[in-house]
Amino acid sequence: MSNKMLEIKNLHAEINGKEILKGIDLTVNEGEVHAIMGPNGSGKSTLAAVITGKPGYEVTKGEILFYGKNLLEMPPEERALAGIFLSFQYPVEIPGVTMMNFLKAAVNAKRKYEGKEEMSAAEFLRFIREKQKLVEMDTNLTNRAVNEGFSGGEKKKNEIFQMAVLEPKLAILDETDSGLDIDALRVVANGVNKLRSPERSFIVITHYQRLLDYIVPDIVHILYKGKIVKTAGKELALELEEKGYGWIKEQF
Amino acid sequence: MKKKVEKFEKGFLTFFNDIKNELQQTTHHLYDDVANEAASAFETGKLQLPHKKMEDYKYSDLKKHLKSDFVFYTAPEKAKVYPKDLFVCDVPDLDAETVMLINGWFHDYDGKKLKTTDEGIVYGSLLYAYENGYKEIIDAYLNKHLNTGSPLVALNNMFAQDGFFVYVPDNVVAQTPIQLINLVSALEEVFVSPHSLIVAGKNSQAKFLLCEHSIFPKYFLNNSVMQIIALENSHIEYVRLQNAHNESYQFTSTYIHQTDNSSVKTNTITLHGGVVRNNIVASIDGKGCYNEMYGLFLVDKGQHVDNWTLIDHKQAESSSKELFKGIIDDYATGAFAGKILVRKDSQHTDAEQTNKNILLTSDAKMYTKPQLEIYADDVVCSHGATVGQMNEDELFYMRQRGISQKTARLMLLNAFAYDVIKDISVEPVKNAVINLVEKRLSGDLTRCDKCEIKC
Ligand SMILES: Nc1ncnc2c1ncn2[C@@H]1O[C@H](COP(=O)(O)OP(=O)(O)OP(=O)(O)O)[C@@H](O)[C@H]1O
Ligand SMILES: [Mg+2]
Repeated sequence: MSNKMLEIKNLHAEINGKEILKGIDLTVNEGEVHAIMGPNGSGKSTLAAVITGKPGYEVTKGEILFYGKNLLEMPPEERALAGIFLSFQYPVEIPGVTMMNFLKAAVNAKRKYEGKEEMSAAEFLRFIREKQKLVEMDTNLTNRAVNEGFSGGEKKKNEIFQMAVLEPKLAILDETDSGLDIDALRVVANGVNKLRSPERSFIVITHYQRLLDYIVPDIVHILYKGKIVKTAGKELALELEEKGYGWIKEQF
Repeated sequence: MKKKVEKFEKGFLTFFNDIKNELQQTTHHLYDDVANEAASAFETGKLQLPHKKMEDYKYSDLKKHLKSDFVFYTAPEKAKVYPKDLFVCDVPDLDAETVMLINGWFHDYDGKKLKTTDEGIVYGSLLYAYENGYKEIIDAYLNKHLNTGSPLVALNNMFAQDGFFVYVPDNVVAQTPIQLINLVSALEEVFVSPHSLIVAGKNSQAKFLLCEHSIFPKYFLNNSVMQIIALENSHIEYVRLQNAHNESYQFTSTYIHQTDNSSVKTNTITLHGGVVRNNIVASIDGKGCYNEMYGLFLVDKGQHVDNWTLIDHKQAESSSKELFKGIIDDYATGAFAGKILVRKDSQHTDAEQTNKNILLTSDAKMYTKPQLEIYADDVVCSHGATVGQMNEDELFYMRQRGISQKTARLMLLNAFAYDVIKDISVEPVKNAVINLVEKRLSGDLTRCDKCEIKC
């Protein structure tokens, strides 16, 4: 029996007074890969935002526990340091902040949290190069400002690269596959698979079965109108690919 | 000699008449014409001290700050102090030739009032240069490209003291920057009125760093004028670093005059100051010129910084790029007015103006007024002004990676400021400015280490 990592209980959340999440229950154990699918606008990214603590969302009911700790009381950076990573659906461009400075700040924050000393410049560079190889990331990208002028695919790769650097306990991948060409999709999936371990869990938000061929989920959920309406094994994704969401929409 | 002007705003004309003879004698009658002209303009009401009912000063009611008494030095005080003993420079590793004004008068700490660098630049005291071989050059350019109708220029002219004089002879290409230090150091509330001139000859290149400092925690008024003449195919870079305490009034007027194929790049960096008003005017009077005008200010508490700029395209085929940024914290205020004037025959002018500001609190205020006046038809001109908060999405992205809110804010503000600084070509100056900005933003700028007012 593996340990419980994330527990979401009856989560209701709203933005600008509009309720988006309407009672979510979800438990993720160590080492599991969960896929969340569902039509556009059903609340998948909202769930990711609420888990990671994006300002602007109000949780009106329910709770989120991470290893038994109440996440909702923690600022976003503390949640990140506790081991939660989000690969953004739309990664933000930050002009003027170089990838290197950004990564250094993130890595040092993590090391400080873990009571470790900062890496030396040489150590850091070696570490970054290693991770770059892991996700076949173009080294030129790390010399630029964060995501600035990156192509859609490069931005997604950059998210996986950062995940490799930060080695989170729980990684939420929000449509990391969209906008990727076939080769890039394989690279991203390989990157994720290399990071899979019995202690690390993934929540993979996607619209396509294709990604799940590479990253095989243990459990597949369908989120619809702010609720998880169906949970099953990996065969559910195949069924969706075949039938679309029509039958779900009819049911609810 | 020290003299006191009571209630400056009311008393400055009487004061002028009292000290006129003495001052004009000390300044070898170099400014008599402009001084007398300015005085009579104020007397007849043709000119007024800047106040908020004047369009150009509506965000900066300078007159309001001139109610108190000030002390004025009608002649230099004897002091044999080396610049390094007087204050710790903000740009420590700079390999530069240094000249200094103290309270508006030239400070010849090594007994030399005019020197020549190894690379051939002549620099020192304007008054001394006038008497010692540079009369012709000074007569040709001094006050020739100034707007004497500006109240701040007029006020400076009336009380003009000494100033920096730099002459870069034709074809001299200098790498070592000249550091100009304008220091206020008095135990009383003092007002200073330095009047400076830089002339860059044909095909010359030179770089300047102007540092403005105060040593004692007394309020003071620094109303300075700088004239920069860029002759054909000369290339000038000029960084002004303003870092004075919160009780200071710093009014500056910079007049740039460019002829064919010259380029002038200015960075006006205001780290600290009580009430700061910078007037920067570039008159582009030649073809193939390039003017880059950058500015950055960081204000908090009750500070106020107002940058007023005019880029006057008087001839065809030249370009200008203007970028001013401000970060406004607490209940501070900032202002930017930028006018780009493209005259009738200035075809193929390419002018770009950007003004971006970040308000860190809801009490912080920024006034911005871009103004394009274009009388030629075949030109490319753009302008954009933004006043906003920090970008929440950027902040969240960084915090999601474990970076603390404080660090993330700091990194974003530094990035915001970096744009203005990144093209400074003198590495130590650039690094020092980056450093100072970082320190300033993180709240531990050492500016006030030596100062009793912990602003
Ligand atoms: N700031 C906001 N104000 C109001 N409504 C919002 C806001 N942000 C999101 N929403 C709404 O919340 C709903 C859920 O959005 P969300 O982004 O979570 O959907 P999603 O399932 O991720 O969709 P997609 O598959 O298209 O990425 C949508 O109807 C969206 O319009
Ligand atoms: Mg989404």
